Amino acid sequence: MRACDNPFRVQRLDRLAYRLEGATWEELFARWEAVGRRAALVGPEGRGKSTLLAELAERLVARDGFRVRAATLRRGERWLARHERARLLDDVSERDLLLIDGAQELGAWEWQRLRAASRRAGGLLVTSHRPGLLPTLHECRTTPELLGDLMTELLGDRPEEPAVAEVAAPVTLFAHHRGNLRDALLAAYDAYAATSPPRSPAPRTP
Amino acid sequence: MTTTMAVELDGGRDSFKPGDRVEGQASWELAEAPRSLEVRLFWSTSGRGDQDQEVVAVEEVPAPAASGWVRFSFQLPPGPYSFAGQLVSLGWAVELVAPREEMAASAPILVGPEGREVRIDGEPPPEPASS
Repeated sequence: MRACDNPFRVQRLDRLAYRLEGATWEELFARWEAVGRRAALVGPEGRGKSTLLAELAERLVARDGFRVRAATLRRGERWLARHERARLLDDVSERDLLLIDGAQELGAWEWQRLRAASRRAGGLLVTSHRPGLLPTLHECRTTPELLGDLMTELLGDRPEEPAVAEVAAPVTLFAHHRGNLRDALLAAYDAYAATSPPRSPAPRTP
Repeated sequence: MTTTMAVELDGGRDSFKPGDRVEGQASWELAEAPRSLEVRLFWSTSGRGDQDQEVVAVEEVPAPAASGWVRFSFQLPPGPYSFAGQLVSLGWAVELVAPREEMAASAPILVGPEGREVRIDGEPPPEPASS
């Protein structure tokens, strides 16, 4: 199957909306205010923290008129590069909402320094694999049912591929990837990539 | 009111060779005049990895009204070619974009040495619809 026809291509995964469960957006906003607009989205890898971070930031911008400043930490990145820190913190004010994706990577000293420097900002929202950096705003969890719902959404009205139904069954993928939905959906991509082209080719969207 | 945006290629042609001209008409009918409007020629990748893309040419629509149409004409660069494999595909398109309003319409095209997509997964390439 051509990559551009694969229903699990990354460009489609990135467009999936976060499925907020166990709380409403209003409850999240109330908690955000209650903890002084300094909070963390917590959960292991592949649970949708980055997706929720982006979606929540968009809602906070629409609600409060924030200006977003964001930084993403890659694995093993213990501190921000100088230009990244400048982009995040130079002339920071109450208008700014600071986002740090992957804050668990930061070394303890760097984290304390960033946290102190962010006091002038209107808000600080981070993602982390573990609780404790900031009050937890939401704990991101996944279930086999959630994976199944996302796969159904991605497959749309595409005819079922019997050859991949077994290896790409949500329960199997969820267990194999220990709840990491991104890895599970990429495994579904691989299963579909090995199949023949669809009978009715999808439009050639770039 | 219904809002529409459309990109039509002359003669319905959608297969091209590098260096060819891609010509057609873009039209729109919106509720309000967009703050800016552009016709873009671009390529992008899709597949298992992060997306790569490049806008290779832009024609701005000066002072766009709420509705209207424009002709566009782009010359294709030498590459990259449209290609498709199991892990990554690269596709070209012409799109009409109202960036501030986050509205767009596009028409995909194939760009290759024989006016067709290059297959890198062993599958035979599709016949071009027109040349």
